Amino acid sequence: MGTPAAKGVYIGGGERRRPLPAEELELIQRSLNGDLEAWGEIVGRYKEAVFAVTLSILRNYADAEDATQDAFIRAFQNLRQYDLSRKFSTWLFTVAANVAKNTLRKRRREKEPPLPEMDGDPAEEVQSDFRIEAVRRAVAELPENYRAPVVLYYWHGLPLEEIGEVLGLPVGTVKTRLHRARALIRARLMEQGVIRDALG
Amino acid sequence: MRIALLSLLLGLWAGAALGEALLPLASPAPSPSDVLNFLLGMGLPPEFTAALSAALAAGFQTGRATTTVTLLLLQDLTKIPKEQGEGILEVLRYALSQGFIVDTGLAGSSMMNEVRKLLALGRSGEEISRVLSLRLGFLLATRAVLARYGLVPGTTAGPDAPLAPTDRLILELAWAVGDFILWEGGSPADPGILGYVQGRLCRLAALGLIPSELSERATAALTPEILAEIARLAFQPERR
Amino acid sequence: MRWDEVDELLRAALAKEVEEGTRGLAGLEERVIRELARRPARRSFWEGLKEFLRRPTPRWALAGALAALLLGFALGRLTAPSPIPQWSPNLFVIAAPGAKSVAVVGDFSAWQPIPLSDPDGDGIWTASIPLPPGRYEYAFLVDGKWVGQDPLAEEYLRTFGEYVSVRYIGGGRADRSS
Repeated sequence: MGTPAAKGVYIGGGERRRPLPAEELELIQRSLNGDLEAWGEIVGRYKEAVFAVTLSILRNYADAEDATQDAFIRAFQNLRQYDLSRKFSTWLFTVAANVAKNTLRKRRREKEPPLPEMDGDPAEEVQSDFRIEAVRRAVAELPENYRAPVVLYYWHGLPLEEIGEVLGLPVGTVKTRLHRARALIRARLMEQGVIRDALG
Repeated sequence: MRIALLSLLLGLWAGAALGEALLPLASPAPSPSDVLNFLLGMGLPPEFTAALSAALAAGFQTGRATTTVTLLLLQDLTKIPKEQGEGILEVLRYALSQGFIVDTGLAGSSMMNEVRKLLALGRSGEEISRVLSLRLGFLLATRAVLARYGLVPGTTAGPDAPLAPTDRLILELAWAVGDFILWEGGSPADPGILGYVQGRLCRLAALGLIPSELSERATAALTPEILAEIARLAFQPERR
Repeated sequence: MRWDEVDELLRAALAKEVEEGTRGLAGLEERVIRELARRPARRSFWEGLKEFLRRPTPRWALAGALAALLLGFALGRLTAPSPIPQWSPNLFVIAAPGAKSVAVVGDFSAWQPIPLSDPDGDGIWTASIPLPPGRYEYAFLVDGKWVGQDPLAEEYLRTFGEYVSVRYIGGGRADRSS
């Protein structure tokens, strides 16, 4: 899989002040006028990034897929609330994070959260880089408040301010959670013998 | 930043406006006299031409017809046998004389656009006349039944009366019932007719084509029985 | 192990995790479009506009935007006095590889053909048509042949055995089934 940047949906910090590309603006304008096809194009561009947001919160592929669909539906219905001077992706991720958080709340009321599905085929796991699998497990075991900042930082490449915006957290809190998440992951990896020493 | 974004936005708007110039219909709308002169040159019986001219002139004035679509329609009708064209025009004249909207311009359903659609589909003048007569039947039945339930005025306003919001309600409701019966293969007794018609009205109200208050009143009052009555009356003119 | 190596592992692990889940995203675009076409409108255009105006946008930016809009509108009117009111474009698109000519006909053109174009020759023909709010019946003509079922249509009607597509354009969306 390519990074989001490789797919032309750059959302990294360096590009933060870049205006919305004209083409994307046109798609949003057409969507505002009810053009569902234009919105379909937006969905195609951002579905993976939105899925990463919902997955980071829900830890379950099926729920994350549903939440991704709901997020795009809700975003379309509330598109008039989007302020064109803001970065579109940040707004979209905020909608997605809220949808996922609501799903999580509902799930908690109904039942325990399902276990992460990522274990998959053991044979496949043996063949893949076991260190990566160990990191995936470590991320899955993170407290849920920590997972979303980690994904938004490491997968989406968002700067701390935008992560704060998406998750509705002060920058200081984002920074603390990221730091603790990293420390927890590192400790877990050391525990499992994946890494041995402290900071090099 | 905001300025740059707004400029981009405006560029799009201006682009949309200019893009219009590329459309085939982007010439100025013909004047009423252009249309009436064309009608005069069609060689129809003089009394009929006079009656139709008067009805069309009133229609242009009040918004029950538009010059753009009417002229295109008249031009089309010169390409089919004269008697068939005259039959179609007679239905339109009668509908106008009864105060019905026959042409909503380039947005939405209407008798004139229906004719143009059926011609585009290659249907014969005879078939088109038949469909148009049925559409007229749905209009008359819709008005009669809605008036009975106090949803629209009971009296016929006539072609010269200013357009009222209820005129558009009658048109759209009649059209939805007509679509259900003519093109969706539904029968008047089918209870699905209610959802179909209410859904149509609701969507048109959301587009601002029918006042929401009017659409809500109508959708609340409609029942499958009322719609079945409209559908039955459309085919039984003697009972209207 | 250095911190940046942990970071690299984290990136790789997250990429793998997301990648494995993206199989379920195939066809999401269509699912979203279908679902939206089915759902009721949340707000009307005017409600949305009122809300936009209530937001703390700098007055001068708003005034500038309005002035430029008026200018654009005036320009449009001067250059093309048209029976179609100024409105945002709607895309009509059809895949017709190998076709020589493709057009769309509909209520919006009084059923006169409006040509679609395929400048890059990839078989995807498009036309962008500015339309006021309304319910529009339409169909495509591919090399003169009637193609009445546009996958992007919200409804279809069958007229004398031929399909006609229907789109509701502009304003909000209301539930068909209500």
